[in-house]
Amino acid sequence: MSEFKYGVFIPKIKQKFILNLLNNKKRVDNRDFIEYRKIKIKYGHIPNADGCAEVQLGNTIVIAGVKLDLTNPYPSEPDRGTLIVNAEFPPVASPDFEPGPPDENAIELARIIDRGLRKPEVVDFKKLCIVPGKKVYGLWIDIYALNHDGNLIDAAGIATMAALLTAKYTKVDVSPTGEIIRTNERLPLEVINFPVYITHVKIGEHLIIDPNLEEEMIADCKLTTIISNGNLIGGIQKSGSGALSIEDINQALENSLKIYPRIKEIITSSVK
Amino acid sequence: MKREIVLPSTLLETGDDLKPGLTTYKIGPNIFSGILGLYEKTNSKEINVIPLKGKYYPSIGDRVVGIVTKFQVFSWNVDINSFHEAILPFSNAIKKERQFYSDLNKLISINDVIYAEIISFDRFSPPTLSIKKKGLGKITEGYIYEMTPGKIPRLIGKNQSMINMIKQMLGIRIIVGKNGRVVALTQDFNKIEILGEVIQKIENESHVPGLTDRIKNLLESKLNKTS
Amino acid sequence: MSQFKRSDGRANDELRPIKAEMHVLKNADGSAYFEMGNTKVIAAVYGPREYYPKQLALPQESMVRVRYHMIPFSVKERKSPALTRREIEISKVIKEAFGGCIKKDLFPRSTIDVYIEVLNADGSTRVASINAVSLALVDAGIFLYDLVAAVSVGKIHDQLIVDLTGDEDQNSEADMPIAMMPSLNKILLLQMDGTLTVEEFNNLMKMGIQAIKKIYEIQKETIRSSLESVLKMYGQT
Repeated sequence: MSEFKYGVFIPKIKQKFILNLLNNKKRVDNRDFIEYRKIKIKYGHIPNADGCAEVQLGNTIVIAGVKLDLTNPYPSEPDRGTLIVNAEFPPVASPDFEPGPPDENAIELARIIDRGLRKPEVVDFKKLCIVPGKKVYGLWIDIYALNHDGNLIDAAGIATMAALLTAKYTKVDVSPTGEIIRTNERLPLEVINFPVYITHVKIGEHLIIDPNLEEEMIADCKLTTIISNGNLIGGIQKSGSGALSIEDINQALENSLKIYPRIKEIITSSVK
Repeated sequence: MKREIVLPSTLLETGDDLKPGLTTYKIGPNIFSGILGLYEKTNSKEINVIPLKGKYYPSIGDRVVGIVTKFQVFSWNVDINSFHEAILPFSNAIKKERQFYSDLNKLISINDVIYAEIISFDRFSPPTLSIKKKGLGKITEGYIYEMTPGKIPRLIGKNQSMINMIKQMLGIRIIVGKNGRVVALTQDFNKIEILGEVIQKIENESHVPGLTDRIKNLLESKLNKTS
Repeated sequence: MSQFKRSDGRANDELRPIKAEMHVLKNADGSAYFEMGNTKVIAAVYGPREYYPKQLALPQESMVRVRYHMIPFSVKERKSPALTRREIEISKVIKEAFGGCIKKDLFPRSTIDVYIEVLNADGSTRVASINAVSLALVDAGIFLYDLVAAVSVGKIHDQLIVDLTGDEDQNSEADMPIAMMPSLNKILLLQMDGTLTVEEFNNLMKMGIQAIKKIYEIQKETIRSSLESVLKMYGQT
């Protein structure tokens, strides 16, 4: 399989250099170990989406779009709207990505984002019910990486929250005979919980936040923590084949709780 | 000497005796550009454009900085930022005859950086490298930069003037690969950052005259700040 | 003449506002963004690079591969992310359009891969894609005989119009995307869906070529300005 793949190579001298720097408490782009790259959020340029945001995290670019449309509820939850999170890593974003259906990494990312939105619920899914057992709103979130320079998960999390905060959907009325009529009224989606996705990587003995592509590629493993509403752990994912100590995990949680308000503030203040 | 920015289909010259090069094409007596680049009138009958973008086009005798991507049965595959991977046959890398295959992987392995010379290349076979000559071989330490291969001559300068000035002012050794890869042989982070800015400036402003002076000023101001 | 007026108030031969930018994605060898009104596309080019598997590479020239894709929220009703038959056909015609404009024999056995993502669709997405790809190829330093510029023309309520929006496309009697190399006067893509008289076809072709020349100038301006901003910094233009 590897014969047929294009890839990103991190030369050994660069690996050595990055590790050397970390040993001297420095990073290639002069960032602090628990400092994010510059975050830029762009809104409203995709009029066909019900909500949309494009996030730049350094050179990483991720776009998330929200659509709300009528659908059937799940039999187990007849009075609640549905949520589907889909993520794709299209080849525009990196020579590492191949055309075709989402691979395990894209699916993992979608499921991590999904996890943070379900418990605690990011919106009141009961409010998205129209006729119990018959019609509800389906909330679709599509996440596309446009340029991969590391830490797609956190960028996707920011883009998703920004898109949800600006999403508007068409109000429907139910006639006495049970018919569903679309109105011209657009309702804002009310976000009731605010997850932030924060990823650390472990390189050698060092734990750093928001890795760029080079750091991510040479890392032993990755730990994403989802912080909900400032003090709750809303989800965790460890990925990569290296190992973490309990101290690493506690350190990462402490960092994440510390950084949560800053990231949340960046997102909320960017919404006009 | 006037350098002009040209685009695909820009008319460069007219003349029945003129020949198109790798970057131009001819219709009737007219020679047009095929790429985005700089055109400068010369006495040559072959008309070419200096590329401002794009990958490296291999040429025999060029010295390049490669990254090893595969360990094969008879050779290493090496990425040289071109449209084909280059090949470094074991025989072009080792001097001793009695070498075991298992030793070779210790010598050079995937993700190693090598400084090599292109010893053969034609349209029917991939570029072949050698590291047998003096000054060539594996690079074990340093920082690697990338720039557009077409702009490497600007980094080197006339008679090496630019690169020598940079080496002298920074006080470090620098390896320049014709394929757009540059390696600073140092671990001094401050100097690595300054060289990064220099390379970025050449990348962005290679088409603007007076580059040497601007690079000199940049180096002076950066070095003063830190000393 | 009927009383037809375009919903956005444009004259029949008027293009929507165009925005173009080069080198918007850092990882690709070349990239560009192109916007015609609310139709917004991004294109990335990789290559020329090694073609895998090597035994299937063309011994005499580069392969050109194109994937045109619309992201699910680019259209009014969410689209499945999987490639549809429509997307596969459009990928093919775009690939063939650029097959006629890239000098392919410079890089035997290699491939040039073009990826297009439609971010927002409001008609004329394939021609906007072609305009973006053209700039992305220049950004990648690939040898082109000319830039390729493209526009859609069509007939609606018996009137001939240029640069159809999504609604106009839905209600049109005919629509016809055209792509060409303007300096060389060569047509690289031509499709027509609907019915036209020969006279209407000829008139549409004329209108299309005129519009293409305007787009061509915008493309050239985009490329120049990406370099000239630096020249201006030093007062040398």
